[in-house]
This record gives sequence, structure tokens and C-alpha cells, in this order.
Amino acid sequence: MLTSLRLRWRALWKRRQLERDLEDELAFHLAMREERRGETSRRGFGNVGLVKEDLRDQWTFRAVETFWRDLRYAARMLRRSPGFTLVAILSLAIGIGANTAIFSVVDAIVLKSLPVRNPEELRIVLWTGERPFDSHSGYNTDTRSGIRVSSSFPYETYQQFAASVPQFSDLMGFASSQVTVIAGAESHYADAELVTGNFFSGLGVTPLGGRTLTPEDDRPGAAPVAMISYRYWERRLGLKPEAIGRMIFVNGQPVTIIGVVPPAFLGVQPGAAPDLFLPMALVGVLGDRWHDLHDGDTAWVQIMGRLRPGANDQQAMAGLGAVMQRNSLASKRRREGKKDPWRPVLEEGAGGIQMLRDGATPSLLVLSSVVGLVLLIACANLANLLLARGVARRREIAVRLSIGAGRWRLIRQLLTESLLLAGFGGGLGLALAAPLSRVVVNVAGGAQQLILDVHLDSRALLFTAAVALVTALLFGLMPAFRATRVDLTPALKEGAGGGLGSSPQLRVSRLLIAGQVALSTLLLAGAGLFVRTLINLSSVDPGFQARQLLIFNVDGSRSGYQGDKLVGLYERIREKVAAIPGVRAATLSGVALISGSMSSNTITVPGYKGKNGQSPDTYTMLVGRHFLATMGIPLIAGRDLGEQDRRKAPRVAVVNETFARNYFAGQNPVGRIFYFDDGKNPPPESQVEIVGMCKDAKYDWLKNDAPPTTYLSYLQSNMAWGMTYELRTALPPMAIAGAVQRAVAEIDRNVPVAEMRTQEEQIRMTLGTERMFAGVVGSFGVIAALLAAIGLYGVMAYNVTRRTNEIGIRLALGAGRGDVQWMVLRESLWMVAAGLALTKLVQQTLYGVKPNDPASFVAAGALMVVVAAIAAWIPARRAARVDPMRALRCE
Amino acid sequence: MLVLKALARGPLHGYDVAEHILAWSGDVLKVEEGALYPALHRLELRGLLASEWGVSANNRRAKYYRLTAAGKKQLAAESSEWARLSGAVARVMEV
Repeated sequence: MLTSLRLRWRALWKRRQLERDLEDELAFHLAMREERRGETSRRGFGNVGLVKEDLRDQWTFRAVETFWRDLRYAARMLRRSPGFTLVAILSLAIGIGANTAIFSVVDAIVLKSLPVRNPEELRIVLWTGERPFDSHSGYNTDTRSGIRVSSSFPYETYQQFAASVPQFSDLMGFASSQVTVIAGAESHYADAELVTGNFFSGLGVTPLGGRTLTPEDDRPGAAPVAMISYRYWERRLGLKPEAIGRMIFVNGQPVTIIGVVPPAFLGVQPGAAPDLFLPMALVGVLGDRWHDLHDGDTAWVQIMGRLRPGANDQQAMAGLGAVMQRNSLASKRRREGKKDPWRPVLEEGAGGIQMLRDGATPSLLVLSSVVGLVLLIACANLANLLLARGVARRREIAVRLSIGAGRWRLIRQLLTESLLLAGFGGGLGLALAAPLSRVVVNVAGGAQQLILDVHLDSRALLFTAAVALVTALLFGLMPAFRATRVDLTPALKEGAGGGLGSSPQLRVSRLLIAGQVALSTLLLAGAGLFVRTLINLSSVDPGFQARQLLIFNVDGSRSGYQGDKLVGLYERIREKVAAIPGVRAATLSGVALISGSMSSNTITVPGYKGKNGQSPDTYTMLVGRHFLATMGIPLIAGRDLGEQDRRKAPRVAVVNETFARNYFAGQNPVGRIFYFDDGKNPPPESQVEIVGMCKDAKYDWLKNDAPPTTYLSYLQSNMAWGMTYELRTALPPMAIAGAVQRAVAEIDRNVPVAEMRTQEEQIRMTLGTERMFAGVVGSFGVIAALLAAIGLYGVMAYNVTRRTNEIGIRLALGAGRGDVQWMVLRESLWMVAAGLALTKLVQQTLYGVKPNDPASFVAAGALMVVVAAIAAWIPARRAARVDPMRALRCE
Repeated sequence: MLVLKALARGPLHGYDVAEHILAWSGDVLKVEEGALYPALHRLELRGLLASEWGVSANNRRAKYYRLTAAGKKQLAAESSEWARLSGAVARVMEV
């Protein structure tokens, strides 16, 4: 078998020699016959040509040879109709490219394993149970089993796990943190991942340069070191090799860069790519309030383990469970949760921590159905064009069939053509996929920025090839079968014209057109839906004056400021920026409005019973003085928060109308009190007096109604983190951005200003998803409509050519040109109407009827009719211009 | 088998293979010439024969076939199988 392949392979490259050898060998034999036996005739030898054919077949790869020949023939045929080829390849490229782009993103988020050693051995350690901690970070999700799980543990528990669960060869702990970095003269915020010393060795990630963190670096008192990501190295340190060994300041602490992480490794959470990796032991030094190594009641360490070969999940769960049980005995809170005890949950860790899976999946689902539809439309379109070609080539095919070509042989030939088209389409699609995938990443991420390792690798290549192949079969198979099912005699007799009326081909074509119209309308209507949402949202009144507002973030807590000093810093900055010419007023708040961030608290309102025993809650916003006045949120009763509301003064709050409506039955709440506590007997220090009521203003999202909101003076709370400043300006806001930067730098060069933007930009950013969706779905809708129009045009143009005779007769019998034109148009419009009717059906199966916006559908339908009418008008005009004499003479 | 046997004594060209078989069988087994070459080529592709171009006795370019190691093994296997089979047939016929 192998010998045969080798010999035939060699023969493949020496075709001419093989031919000559066969020739010579047989000639020699015949010569010998003549010489020895004197036989000149070839009687008794058989058909020399046939023998030669037989030998040649033995020596060559017949399938490959025919395929090659078919391919060349197909290329010739395609070159003969460049218009058709161009349309076909372009529409396929768009369809396939879009699908590849989506695939590569889905692959990066959901399917791909982390670029680490044996990722299938990794497990994520989670827990479930009844509120075992005062506070915990990390994600909550409903896993397949439907239980609520959380991903963070106290550091203490991590250590207990690491010491006494032998089923894991390595247990890695990590936690995300925002830090301020000063590198040289420049300071900026960066995303840091605090990791245990065995993080890199346990995962099996080797450094691109320098060395990785080791357990020695993660000891208290060890020299502070950091690894940096490739992206950070590129963006902030210019890829300079001398960056390794350099000292930077992280939250004011000197830290030495010891190595660079390879570009493929973006941390263990797809989408969130840390800039720095710091040993967990540094947590105390960095002054991170949330992350405390010694607090057994605050959970913040996420854990990933590598299962020892031979150990299974049950054993590991048992080991973890035993530790957690012992740990629970030491905690009152955890002892109480008897009914729903604190216990471990294990999840596959090969794909990393999937915080994105839930967030991005709906967007990706919508996008992939959209691109799937586009590809389907492209297929239908091509099938249609090929059908028309098949009819046009009937004579050719009939001739080939009649001189003995097998039907299968012809189908193979036609499919080769489809394959060639799909191949070109796929190749071009691949080129389109790279930029498209970047768009997809933006759409999928929405407001948050995703950093993904999306590049077209071998998997994407394979996917594209598979899609192209399936596509080729999808659009090529049916036309190929139809084209070769020819009744020979009439086909050979016929000229280019052909009979009257409709053939089965045409029926299928019409059906395909109707289908295309249906799908395109669906896409256009979907785009309309997004556009309407966008318009609705843009015209929503946020409840405050968004114009002429400059906002920026400052976080002094990461530059060594704490407590009163931090508040002092924030007040100094406020005074300084308020004095900048062009600034009318300056204030600050815990988070920016309409930024998607919020904080909420459970409260107790004396006299308020609550619905079905649920404690009331309120969104809270920590604000500086005159926040309401600066933002333009109108006060209805009482007063704004001002300079009198200091730390030592009684705690006061301003609430919004919804708060008053919900908890005080709409009465004036000024002078009333409530408590920031969920208990029956709230401690007196949690008491707050309401001093004012303001109108409702949107808080986190434009699309959400204003929640019950409490505005509190930040001076009166234990604020220990970053703030957002809001400046009401007389000038265009960005014009004073430079002055703001300088003012803050004059106070402390090491406190960076981040995310300088206008409030309007901030709002626009939160609409990014809607905007992108409208754009993407809309452009695909237009492409789809265009394809449908091309298909319609093709079918009608072909139809008019076929029916030249009939039209000639009609004209000769006295039909007006307008009548003929209308006849053709009417036929097209019927197809469109059928398509629109079909839309209803498709829509129900695809989306479960929910987004049923009649206006969008009517608009999309109308647009489709217009496009179709234009497409049909050209052939209709041509039909009307038929010269009856010439048409009849054709016969 | 006959072709392999014919080549067992040394390299031959196609015409001689046919001649040899005819001669050795006492003119009983006449090889169909049209079928001979496909058979030779099939054996060559199976690796049982190797071929090279040489010059024949009458100064013509001719393709010579010879047995390969695999061919010799195949011939041995086939001839013992044949001996077994023909012996069996002969015994049956003697009964």
C-alpha cells in the first residue's frame, strides 16, 4: 500500500515520462511480436488504447486527477461570467467572514482553554451555603445544578486548603485589585492581580523574559516584586528589555519588575487582562482595605487547583469539605447556617473563570444568529443564481449527458464549481474576519472593555474551511441535482429561449426569493428595533443637566492617603479645580451618574412595614457639597447637602421622590429619620435624618427607572476609596481638561487623574451596546436586502429573457407596454409579499414573537418592497421594450 | 503466481514473461497479452516487482522486471499454497 502510494506519488510529478514509458513498453512488446512471430496485426493483443488507459489509471490518482481537471474547468467557467463570480464570492465572503469573526470571539471567551500546562486538570474551587461571611467578593452564578455559588474565600481558608487537601498538586489563590503605578515621571491606574507564590509554577506559565514569581517572593518581608503583562510592557514601557529589573511604585510602594508574562497568557479570567501580577503578601503594604490576609470573615481570594493525577473530583471535594467543616466550627456565623452549611463546589477550570460567559452570551447569541441568517441568505442567493445558470447551461449539460457523461460525474463537476466559489469566498472571508472580530469584541463587551486573545488561529481556519464546505454543499447540491435532471430530447432541440410558463426551476427560485425577502426583512426589522431603542434612550431625560459637565476620577487611597488625610486631599482638589477659570461649580461623588455602577443598602424606616416582610432598601450616593445644585437635580423640599454636614455633625441625607413615595407614602419626608441597618433594633449610630427631597434622577442606567435614592455627604461616611469629580463649566468641558490635570498635579504629582470625559460621553458610553447592535444588525440587514434584490433581479431578468416570445405575442395582440411592465412587476411583488408573510412565520420560530414592534416591521417591509421594486423594474422595462416583430421571428 | 515464477530466475521484459510462461507450460498456458501488462504493473505497484529500463538483446529500450524481496516471499507463499491445493485436488481425483 505504502509502496504503491510512493510510486504513484513519484509518477504524479513525472507525468510525461510515465506516458512515454507506457508507450515504449507496449511498443516494444508489439515490436517483439513482429520480430519473433512475424505478427504484424494486433490480433490477440486486444485494444492497445484500452490497455494503456488501464495502466495509466493504475499509476495515477484518478480521483485527484479528475478533481484537478474539474477545478480547472470550473475556474474557466467562472472566469467566463465575472459578474456572477464577483457577486457570489463577495456575498460568501461577507457571510463566512462574519461567522468566522463570531466564532473566534466565542472561541476565545467560552471554548478555548487557558494557555497553560494540562488545562484539563484545573478546577475552580467555589462554595455554596447560607451567607457564611460578613462580605465576599467574586461572582455569584447559577451553575448547571441551579445552586448559587460564590468564588471567594478568606486567605486563611486558602492556606488551610493548601496545607491539607492532598488531592491537588497545586492550589493557586488570586484576587483582582486596582492600583496606582508611578513609573518614572508618569503616574496611572493599572489592574493588578494579587497572586500566591505558586500561581505561575502551578499553572505552568513560563515567562517571556526575566523570571516568574515564586513562593519565596510571597513571604512577609520579601523584597517586593511584580511581573507585568505583555500588553502593559508594550503600552507603558515601550517593550524595552531594560524594563525587567526596573523599579516602579505601586500605591506608593517601590516594587521591582522581575519578568514579563507571555502575550498569550491574559490571566485566568477571559476578558479581564491584568497589567501587573503581584505577590499576595504585598496586600498589607499596598493598603488595600478590602484585602486582608488575617481577616477570616472576609472572603476575597479566588482559588484554582490542579488535580493530582489519579485524584478525582469527589475525593477533592471531600478533602475541601473537611477543611471547611473544621473552619466553620470556629465561626459563629458559619455555625448558624446549619440547614444550608458551608460546602465546596468544584467547576472545570480549563477555560478559566468564566465571568464573561453569562454577561456576553446574549450579545453573542444575537450576533451569531444574525450572521447565521446572513450566511443563509447568501446561500439562498447563490443557489438561485446557480439554478438560473443551470437552466442557461441546459444545452451544454444535455450534450454532455448524451455523449455518455454520467450524471454523478456532472454533479461532481458542478459541485466543484460551488466548492471553488466557496473556497474563494472563505479565503476572502478570512481576511474580513480579523477586523470584524474586533467589532464583535466591542459589541460583546458592552460598556466594559474586553481584552481578549482573539486572533485567527488554526481553529478559526478549520472552522472557516468547514463553514465554506457546508455552504458549498448547501447552495450547490440542489442546483446541481436540478441541472442534471434533464430530459434530453427537448433540451437538445430547444434554443436558448425555451418554453413558456413556469418550470420547476422557477418555482424553486421563487421560493428561495421569498425566503430571502423574509430573512432580510427580519434583519432590517431587528435593526429598526435597535435604532428605536437607541432613539428612545437618547431622548430619555436623565433628571439632571448632562450638558457642560466635565467628569474625572481620582483615587488618593492608592497613593498612600487614608482617613482624614484622604478627605483633606479630595477637598483640596475640589477647591483648586473650582477656582479654574471657566468652572462654575465643582462637586464630587462616589461614582459617576449613568456609569452602570451603583451601591445599595438595606435600611429600616420607622413606621414602614414593607411588602411581604422584605426590608426596604435604597441606592446610595456619597456626594460632596452642593452636588444636587451642581448636577442640576431640582430640590423639592428642604435643603441641599452643604459645608455644615461635616464628620462630627449629625448624619443627614437628601432622598428622592421615589424614596418618599415608597417609604413615606408620598408625604414630605423632611425631618423624618431612618436607619442604615436591617435589624429590629437598629443601633443609634446608623440613624440618618432627612433634610431634603429632590426630584428623581437616573442613577446607574438610562433604561432603568430612578430607584429610591439617598444622597449622603461623603464627609460623614467611612469613605476610603476613589471619587468622581463633576465640574459644571461655562466653557466647552474638554477645553479645561489640561488645566484640571495641572491643578491636581500641583497638589500631588503622584495622584493621577483618570478617565477625563464629559458627562454626555459617559452616557453615550453606556449606550455603546445598543449603538453597536443597531450598527451591526443594520449593516447586515442592508447587505441581506441587497443580496435579496440581486437575487430577485437575476430571477426576473432570466424570466423575461425566457418569456420574450410570450411577451412579443402579448404585445402583438395589443397589450400595452405598461401592462407588460406591470405584469413583470406584479410577479416580483408577489414574491416579496410571500416573503413578508413568511417573515411572520420565521419570526415566531426564531424569537418567540417577543420583540414585536409593528413600526419596525412595517418600515422594514416597506423598505424591502421599495428595494424589490427597483430590482424588478429593470427587467420589467426590458420586457416592455421587447420588439414584437423580432420576438416572434425568433421562433 | 505464474508471472512471479517466470521472474524467479532473473529479470525479464514483458514479452519474455509471456514467452517463458508459454514455453514452460508446454504451450498450454497462453498468457493474454492485453492482460499481462496491467498485471505486471499491479504487481509492481504492490511492491512485489521492481522495474528498470534496460537495453534488450536487439538493442531496443525495454522495461525489465525483477522480483523484490517481498515478491520472493509472496511467490514462496503462493507456491506452497498451490502445492497444497493441487495435491488435494489430485488426491480427490484419484479416489
